[in-house]
Amino acid sequence: MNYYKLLQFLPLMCLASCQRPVAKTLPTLAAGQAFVAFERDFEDFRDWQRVPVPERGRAQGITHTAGLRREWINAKPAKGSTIFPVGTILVKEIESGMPEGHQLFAMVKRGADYNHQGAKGWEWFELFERKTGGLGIQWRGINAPVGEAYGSGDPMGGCNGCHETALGNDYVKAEAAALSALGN
Amino acid sequence: MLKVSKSKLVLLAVTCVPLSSACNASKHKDAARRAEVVVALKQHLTASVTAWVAASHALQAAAPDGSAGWNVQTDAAAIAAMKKEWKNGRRAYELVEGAMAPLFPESDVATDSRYEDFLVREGSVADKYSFDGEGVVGMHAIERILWADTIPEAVVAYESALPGYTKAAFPTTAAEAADFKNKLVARLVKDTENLQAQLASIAPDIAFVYRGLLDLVREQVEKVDKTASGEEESRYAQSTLADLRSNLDGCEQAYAILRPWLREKSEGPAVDARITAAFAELRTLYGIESAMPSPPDQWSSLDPTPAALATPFGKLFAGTKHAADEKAPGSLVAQLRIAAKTLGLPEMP
Repeated sequence: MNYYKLLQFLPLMCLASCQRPVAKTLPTLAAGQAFVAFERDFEDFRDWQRVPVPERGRAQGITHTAGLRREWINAKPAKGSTIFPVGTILVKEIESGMPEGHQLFAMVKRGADYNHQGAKGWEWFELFERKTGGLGIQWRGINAPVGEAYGSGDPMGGCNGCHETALGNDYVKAEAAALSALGN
Repeated sequence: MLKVSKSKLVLLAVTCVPLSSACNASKHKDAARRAEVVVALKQHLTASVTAWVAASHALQAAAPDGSAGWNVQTDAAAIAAMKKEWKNGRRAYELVEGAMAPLFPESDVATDSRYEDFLVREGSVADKYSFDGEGVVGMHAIERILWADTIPEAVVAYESALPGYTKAAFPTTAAEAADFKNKLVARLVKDTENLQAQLASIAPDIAFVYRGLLDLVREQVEKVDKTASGEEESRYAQSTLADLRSNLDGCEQAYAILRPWLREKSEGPAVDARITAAFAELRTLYGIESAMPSPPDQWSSLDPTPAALATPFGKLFAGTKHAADEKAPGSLVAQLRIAAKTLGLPEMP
C-alpha cells in the first residue's frame, strides 16, 4: 500500500470526521438520580446533532427574539419515547442582529423532582461565550432570575409559562424537536 | 525560502525544549491544583450540609413530645436547646449558601424563604396553620415559632400588614406541639437530607465553586438592604448580623482552600495580602454592632444621604456595598476576581 498517497487524503478525512455531528452518550445514572450539568457538559455543543429548526423564526416572548436561530441536541431520544431522558441537553442560539443579540439558551433534563411546579424535570440556562474561549453559565435554575428579561418581565410568563404550552412534547417547543420526529 | 543555519536550529531547540517543558510542568501542576481545590471545596460544602442535617435532627429531638402545648417555664430548657440547634443549623447553611442556593433553588425556597415570600407565592392559605409541613416552612418558619414571644414590634408591624398574616405563637395544644415536632421540623429534616443526597451525587467544577464564593459576597448587600424594607432575614431571632458573619466565614473558609495555590503564583502573595485586608475590613464592620442596626428614617439605598450613611446601618450598608463592588479598586470582589485571573480560572459573569 502506498501510505504516502493515503497521507494526501488525510486532511480531507480529518475534515470529514470533524464535520460529522457528535452523538453524545447520555450519562449513566442510578434510578431517580438527577443530572446536574456544569460548564463541561455544554463545551462542544456546536458539534452535536442539529435540530432542524427553521433558521428564521418569529419572536417568542421578549427573549427568544426574531432572527437567525440554530438548535442542537446532545443525544436524540430513543424511538417511541414519550419524554426526553434525563441528561438530555438542548442548546438554542439566537442572533437577533441587535448589539447584544447573540444569545445562547439551554434546557437540561435534570430529572428527579426538579422544577416540579413548572416544566417538570427541566432546568433552564443562559450561557455565554468567553472572550478567552469556552462557555460559561450566565444563570441557571427553575426560571430566569429576577432582573433578566426572560424572567418576571416576560409577558409569556418566563421559561415555564411559555414551555408549558408544549406539555405534550415534554415541554420542548420546537416542532423539529418533536419526540416523534427526533426518535432514533 | 527562509534560510536557517543548522547551528541556529540547534540553539532554538535547546532554548525552546526546556521552556516548553517548564510550561507543560506548570500546566500540569495547575491542573492538579485545580482538581485538588474542587475536591476540597466539595468536601467543605458537604461538611456544612452534614452539620445542617445534624442540627435539624437535634432540633427535632429537643422539641417537646407533644403531650401539651409549650410552657415558657417548664419547657424553658427544651426551648433553649431548640434555639441553640436552630442557630447551629442556620450557621451551617449560611457558610455555603452562595454555592448551594443557585444549584438547588427548590431546596433554598423550601428551607430559607422569608415569611412574605410564602404569602406572595401561595396566597393567604400559606400560613393557615403554622405547625404543619405545608405552606410557610423552613428555617424561618421554625424561627418564627421559637422566638414567638420576643418578636420585635417593628417586625410584627411589618408582617401584620401582609395579606394572609397569622400571628406567631408557641404551640398551645398537644396537637400543635406534636405537629411542630413531627411535621414542621420533620419537613426541615427531610429537606436537608434531600439536599445532602443531591449534593453527594454531583461533581462540581471550579467555575461553579468560585462563582459561589463571589455570589456570597455580593449577597451581603441585599441582606442588609432588605432590612430597611422590613424583610430582614433572621428577623425573629434578631440574628441577621450573625448570618452575615457566617456568610463571611464561609467565604474565608472557601478562600483558605484556594489560598496556597494562589500564593504559589508570582503575583499571588500581593493579591492574597489585599484579599486578606478586604476580609479583615468586612470582619471589623460586622463586629461593631451586636445585632443588625435599625435603618434611619427615610432610608434609600439608591440615594442615601450623608447623614444616613453616617448611621450604624448606613456604615454597614456602605461597607458591604464596597466589598461587593467589583469596580471599586481594593474591594473584596475586585480582588477575588484578580485572584481568579491569576489562577487562570475561567472568566465569570
